[in-house]
Amino acid sequence: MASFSVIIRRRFKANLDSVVKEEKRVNIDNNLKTYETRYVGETLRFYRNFINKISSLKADGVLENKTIVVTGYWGKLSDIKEILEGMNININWIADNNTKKQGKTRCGVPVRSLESLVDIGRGRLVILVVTPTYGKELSAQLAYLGFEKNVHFFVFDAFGEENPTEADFLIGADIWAKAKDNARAGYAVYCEIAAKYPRMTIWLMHQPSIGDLHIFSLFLPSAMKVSSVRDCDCVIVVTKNSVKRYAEALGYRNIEIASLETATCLCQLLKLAGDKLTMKNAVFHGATYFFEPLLWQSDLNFADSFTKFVFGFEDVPAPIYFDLPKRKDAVRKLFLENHLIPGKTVFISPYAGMFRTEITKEQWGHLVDSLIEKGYTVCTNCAGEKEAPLPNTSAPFVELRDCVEFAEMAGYFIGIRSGLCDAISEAKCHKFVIYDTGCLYTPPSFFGFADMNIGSDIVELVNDGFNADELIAEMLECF
Amino acid sequence: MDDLLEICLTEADSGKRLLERHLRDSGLGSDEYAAILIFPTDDAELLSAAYNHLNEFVTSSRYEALMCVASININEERIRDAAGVPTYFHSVTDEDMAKILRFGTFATPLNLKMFSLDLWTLENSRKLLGYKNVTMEMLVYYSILGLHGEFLRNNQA
Repeated sequence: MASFSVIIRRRFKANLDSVVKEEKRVNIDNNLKTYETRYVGETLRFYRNFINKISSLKADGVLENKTIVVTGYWGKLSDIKEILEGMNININWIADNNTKKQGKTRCGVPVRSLESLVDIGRGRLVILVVTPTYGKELSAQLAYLGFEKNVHFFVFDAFGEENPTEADFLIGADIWAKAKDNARAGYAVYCEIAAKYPRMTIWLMHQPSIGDLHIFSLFLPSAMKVSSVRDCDCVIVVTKNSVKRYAEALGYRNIEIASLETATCLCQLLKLAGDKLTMKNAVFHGATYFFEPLLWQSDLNFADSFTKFVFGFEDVPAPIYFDLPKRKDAVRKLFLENHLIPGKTVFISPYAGMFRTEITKEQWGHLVDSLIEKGYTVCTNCAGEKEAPLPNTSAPFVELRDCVEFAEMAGYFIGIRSGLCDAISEAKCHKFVIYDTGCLYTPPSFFGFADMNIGSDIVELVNDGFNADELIAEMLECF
Repeated sequence: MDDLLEICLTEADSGKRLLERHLRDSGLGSDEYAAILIFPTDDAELLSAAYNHLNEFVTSSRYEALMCVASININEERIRDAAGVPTYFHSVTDEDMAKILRFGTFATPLNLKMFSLDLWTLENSRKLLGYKNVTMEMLVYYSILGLHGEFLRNNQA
């Protein structure tokens, strides 16, 4: 077996001239699909509105024989793509003003500038402006380029307002009322927590992210001028039981759990009154969009978002690593029950929370079968019934507090970049971490362990959705 | 403690009404596609970066008008020249600016830009300056104005 280099990073370039579109079929009931989403309320309403309008356009023949372009909703593109493919509509191009995204792919669809759409020819395309926020800006830009609204491009925004009233000029009346209601709801929760933990800083972690919690916790003790997480006199508010359990394993003594909806209200409260509360935002997002553009446009990385933006260190301290519970016997029992060989097991994590990956089941299957042929046992990290184990693998239930112990006993880890990768970044085993263009935040330069100077013995690879076969072959050469 | 919330909500409401009044005084209604620029901070470097990128901000989003609200001295001539669209200026007291910032930080309308690194949601943003390749120009261009172009790359030494 080849020895592992410290860090290897490869980029597989897509050949835009030979795009291969994979057609997917999804059953549709009466042109409306009940779409499962992890987000409730406005996102679901937005999607239903989108489905209804697309159905109308399709029925009217507007989309027939046209090049379909989507612009506006980079973050939710995988959802939009699935909805459209369910209606037998394939996205030919994504258009984006961000020059760093142009020439790349997202979810297997190539990205180009809005200006270049003129080259396709106005009569030959339909542009779907899918965005809850940038409808007006993108409409103005497309109109300037000579495209006509409701002829060449169609706007699907949050509320579909065609003619806002003067009262809605600064902000829609219903949005304003909702924002204030959310702040009031957030304040009620804040008061309860503040009363329960008087004089303590309340850290809000509004998204259920293991990765956020892990990196935040590496630097929290330094920020609070103590030597470990256990010594921090603070409260942490999280939004998922698994994150709560990991927080407990890291040593937090005061943990509160809130629903996602409550966390949104607390973020709203931070925006309204953050200068007057004992609550702080534990991450760079949620209460402001200030840092987000720097993710793509600067040399700052994920760790910097905590050390500089959240904590404001002048001189960045070294991370203080955790003393996770040692449960070798419990982990050994898992190996026995699942017929796994210590030291010769590959622990695969093919799922990454809400992100969709561009490695197919067949490709994962090939990887697993090849590893078995080489004499390894393989297991899949699964969470919940929607994450099925890969064929020919076992699926031991590995608690987060045991993930380091488990990975070390296995000897090898292969995973899509996720919070689990942060959690085991210091585990003494060989690790492959895959950055996938199906995931929103792909750049290794931001989330990469090499750039953060966190973790050891990690091979970092980028999957663009077109060259996954080559990526898998390259990994197999190392076994 | 309930007073704290109501004070902040009242302040935000006041800030919203102040801006709406200034918009009406400028003759800007819902038909005009206008941007609102807020200048609360007397930071020469920040202001210089704002003036440098104002033209791209206005043209890239195709704004038809600009309204500037300031509690400090700003270079109105430079702003007018950069904007290239009808531009209106309003001076406010520090007290009124606090209300406007409360509204702006809470509501975050897309066409409202606040030129400040000292808002409570950005309390450590100044620590980014000079760290790695982060400059004031970059923070104004990408984070405050939300531009995407290659201006900085093309102009860096």
